[in-house]
Amino acid sequence: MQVYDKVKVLKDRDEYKKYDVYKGMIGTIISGEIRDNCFDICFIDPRFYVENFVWTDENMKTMQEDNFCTIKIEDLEVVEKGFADEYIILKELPKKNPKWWCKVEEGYILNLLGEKKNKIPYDYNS
Amino acid sequence: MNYSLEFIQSLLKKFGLNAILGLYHPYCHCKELSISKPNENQIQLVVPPGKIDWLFKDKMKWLISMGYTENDKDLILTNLYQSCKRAYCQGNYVIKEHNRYGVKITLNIDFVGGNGKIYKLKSSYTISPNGNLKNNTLIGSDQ
Repeated sequence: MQVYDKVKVLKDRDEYKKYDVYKGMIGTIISGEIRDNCFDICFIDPRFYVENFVWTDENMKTMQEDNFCTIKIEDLEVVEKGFADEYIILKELPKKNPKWWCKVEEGYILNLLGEKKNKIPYDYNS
Repeated sequence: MNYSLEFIQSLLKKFGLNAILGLYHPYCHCKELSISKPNENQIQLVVPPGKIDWLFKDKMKWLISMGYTENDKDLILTNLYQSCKRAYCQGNYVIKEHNRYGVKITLNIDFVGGNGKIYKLKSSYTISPNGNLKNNTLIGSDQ
């Protein structure tokens, strides 16, 4: 799981409801770095994903604003892998520092140097 | 900053005769600094390449409906950045959230479409503690 992956929210929490984010919604990870075991997710108007949808001056008026929410890694599941490679991830990180935790693979939080943050897979606080 | 007599007396009572009156707080070296109004050329936007790829991947159909084509990506970005810098300098933004990582703002921009129309759009940035404007989403929605 990393930046620009499309992810689904797996759980309802009060802190997500404050931002109108609910279980089942699909968004895109837009932060390169993981902070407090969370990613920043952006939820855009679902019509952007509809194959033959055409935007007009009329329906643009009802376009949903991009909605941002910080979501815990354990509450996310990847539904579509994104286009980011290590170069793109590095450019997203604060001061382009590769030591920032930035991806999740097989239950481990990793940085670009291959270091693991947690000791037990899927226990992100270990 | 003018202090009332009552306030000074309360300070002297609380901290003794050695109470120092700072500009806005007791025992504080706070002072006012004048900051010149920025112009558009001074504003540096930090837009990671991934944000650009994401815009064109997910929202290209929308940009096409505004009169652009797939070959106009450089022009789209130039117009976008100009609009964002102008909106920021004019104070045309709303603070959405602030925490220890920075201040998230939504800029209200006037974006020129490929068809010459002006579209009122939103663009989202985070102002980091060092003053950088880092992009969250290049075009968030219609205003």
